[in-house]
Amino acid sequence: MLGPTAPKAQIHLLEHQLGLDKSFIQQYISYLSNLFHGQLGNSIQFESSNVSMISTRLPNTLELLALAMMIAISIGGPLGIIAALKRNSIWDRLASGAALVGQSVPIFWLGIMVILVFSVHLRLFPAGQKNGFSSFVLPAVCLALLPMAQIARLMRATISEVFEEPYIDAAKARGLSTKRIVFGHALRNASLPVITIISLQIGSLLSGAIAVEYVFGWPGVGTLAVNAIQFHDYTLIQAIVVIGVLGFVFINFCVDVLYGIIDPRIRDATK
Amino acid sequence: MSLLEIKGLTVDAATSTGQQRIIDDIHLSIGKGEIIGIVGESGSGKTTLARALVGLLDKNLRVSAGECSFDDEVIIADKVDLANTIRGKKIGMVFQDAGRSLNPLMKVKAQIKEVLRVNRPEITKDDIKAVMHEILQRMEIDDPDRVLNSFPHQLSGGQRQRVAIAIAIVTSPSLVIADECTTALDVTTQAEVVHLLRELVSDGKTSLLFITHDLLLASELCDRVMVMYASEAVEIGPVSDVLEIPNHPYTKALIASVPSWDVSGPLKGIPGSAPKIGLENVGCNFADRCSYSEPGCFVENVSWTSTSQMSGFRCRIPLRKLSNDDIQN
Amino acid sequence: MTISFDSNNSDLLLAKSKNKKWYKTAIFWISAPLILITSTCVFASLLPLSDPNNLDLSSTVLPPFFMHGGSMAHPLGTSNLGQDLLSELIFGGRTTIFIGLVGMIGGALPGILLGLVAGFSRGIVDTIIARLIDAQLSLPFILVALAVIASRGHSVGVILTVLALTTWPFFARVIRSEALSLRERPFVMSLRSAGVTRTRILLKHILPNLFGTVVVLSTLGIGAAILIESAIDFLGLGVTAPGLSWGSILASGQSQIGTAWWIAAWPGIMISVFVLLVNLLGDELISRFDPRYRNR
Repeated sequence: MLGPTAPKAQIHLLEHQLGLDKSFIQQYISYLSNLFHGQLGNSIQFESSNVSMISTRLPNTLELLALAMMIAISIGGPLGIIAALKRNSIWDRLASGAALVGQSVPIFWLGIMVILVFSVHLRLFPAGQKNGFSSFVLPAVCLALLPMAQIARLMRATISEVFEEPYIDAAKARGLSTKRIVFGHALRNASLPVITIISLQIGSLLSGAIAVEYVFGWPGVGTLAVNAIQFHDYTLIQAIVVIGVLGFVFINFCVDVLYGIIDPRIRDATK
Repeated sequence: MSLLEIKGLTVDAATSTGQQRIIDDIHLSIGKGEIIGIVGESGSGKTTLARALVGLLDKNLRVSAGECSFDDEVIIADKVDLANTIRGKKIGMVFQDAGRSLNPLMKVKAQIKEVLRVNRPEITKDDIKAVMHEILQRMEIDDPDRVLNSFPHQLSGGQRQRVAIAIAIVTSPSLVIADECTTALDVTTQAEVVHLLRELVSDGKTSLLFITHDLLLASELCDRVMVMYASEAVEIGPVSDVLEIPNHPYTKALIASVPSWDVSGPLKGIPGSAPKIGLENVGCNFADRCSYSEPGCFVENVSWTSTSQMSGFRCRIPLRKLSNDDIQN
Repeated sequence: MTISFDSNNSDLLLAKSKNKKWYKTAIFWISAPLILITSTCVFASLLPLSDPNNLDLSSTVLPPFFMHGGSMAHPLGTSNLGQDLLSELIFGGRTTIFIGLVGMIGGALPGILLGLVAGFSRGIVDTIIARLIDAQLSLPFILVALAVIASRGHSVGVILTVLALTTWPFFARVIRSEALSLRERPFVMSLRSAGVTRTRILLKHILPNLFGTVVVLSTLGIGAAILIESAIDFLGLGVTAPGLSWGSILASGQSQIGTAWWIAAWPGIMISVFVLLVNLLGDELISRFDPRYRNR
């Protein structure tokens, strides 16, 4: 950090400042106690508190993530249901095809190409920076593509499986219409694995967000992370990792609770 | 004036190994308040027959010949599929594994309510509760409130079966189809369910189609019984006739294979196994396992003979004719 | 599932597989381009291509042949240092495919092993491994990459390590759940009651049952490894200049995106196409191996 030619005295001073001269255990303990006090250290680059840097940018990232997830669920879900109901039709192929392509294309490259086509050449949408609603569109769609395709694919598979279940047959024998069966019965039962997948997708969504934010110049935690990487700002990276993991654990916890709400069998099993 | 009239119904399947005939030329008529049993081993086509009647055939199956009328209205034929307008309302179905025919994520009362709302919209919200209680009482369930508010996994197997039957009959259908609904049960529960079913039809307004592989069980419950083998109906008639003086060698062999208390010795099975039937089958399906077969049985296609409104058979050399000719069986 | 009377119903047609000629099957059409691309890249040095390390500073940033200013001498254009993009792509493919393959194996071996051990042992061992899997899966791979590369530098070995670290939990998770369910099968219980040892059951009975799953996972794993590697390159964490891969070409083209978009476009297309083919292959294999999907 100081450069290879720094005098020993300066190195010692920095070590003392960073607390590196204390023993490992002492460092760990002081880290944890700082953590509890909401302190995650200062950024090496910017010389200001990591927490404040992250917290100013976090809302931007969260907005982007939320929008992307909404797009993914609201388009992926129905697409998957239609694909399951009309197997081997054009919708089915569309969903599978989109999923495959989405899983194969590197997301940062997609972002670059999308900017090239839609921003530079067609001038339809701005290329990021956060500037009103239209600037949300490109990055959110880019981010949403893969989870949308995965949700569609999973929904199709799950609904198809649920449709093979005896209670669906029984429901048909009771005279219920297809619409009612899908929404009243199948969907409820199919939502369980889909929710599991969504919670797993949050992880890859965060990775994707880093790439997308960077490519689109979005003022969020992702860009912050990439800059930190490129400048070897270890403390900042560490702080982001900690926040990221905490957030992930929290979301997983919420999903577990949601699971219990939806499936009474799980509720009873845990009593 | 029969409630359900099946004439020459034939259903084929497209499988990866070719076309297969699942049901071949079935003739059956069910009158009001009648209990008909359909007996056959697995693969004989009896479940497909039941599903065909409610329009629940798998996608790779289709009706290639014959027709089905309910209340004098043709509901199933080539290019006609009106079964979905009456199922739930006029035909109720009880499935084999009752536990799995209930949605595990919905409470019992929600599932019963749903059926009523869809099929009997005229019943008002206030009456629904009373109707649900009444039906559960008919099913001899002791604690209707607790059962109504439970999820399927919280009930015992027997209770689940009763709930399944309740859902099938709550709309007061004129025909109830019970597809092997006792097969997965232990003997005691089986007896309870059979008792329930018998109660159901005692009013004379509901007919019951009871599908099973258990010939004795069918004979206890049913008025008439139809025996199926390898996609065909081989015999039909009043229970006492079919059991005591069977007309078809398969029926006879089936009866003989049932172990009884007072006879000792090795079990009498039927050697060989049931064939899969292609579309171009020649001769009698049972000929290769039949002790009475003649060369002609393998070559000539045998058609259905109706001896009366209630009986019929499909055999070149029916046993009763043989015994009438005084040949030792 | 009502009866459909449409006489054109394709569901009534005979299913494919047994009766199709081999050159009409999906697997052929997917594997053929894959093999073509792979062999082209592997035998790159035998092909009449210009040396990709040949810096021709007089012809930098030339466009592809179909654009104004391009020529067939450099059909896909040149980079900002004058290197021919076509040969860069082909030589780069060698590295990428190699990293993808080896990286996948690096994740597959420990992943499958741990998954087997976890699924079969149950108890505390299983719990520990399962938690490890969850923990690793919850970390976005970028952070793992960061941690390793920051401390160990940029080299092919490091990249492979990162790939192994990020992909092993995917293998482990699937294998573990398969092993768990296989363990409960009656045939395993009857083998155990007949006195067959656990190890023998594992090797002779469970493992062969997992063959199909392993093949599918490995196929998909190659695609995943390639994507992760290119993401690492993109962030500047990848193997530096002398090492050439599709990802690094993409990364170098990123700065020129406004003026020479093709430098970033070609490698991106190659990655997408290759990974797509690999994923398609994996899908096809799933439908071959999993009997549940055979009639769909």
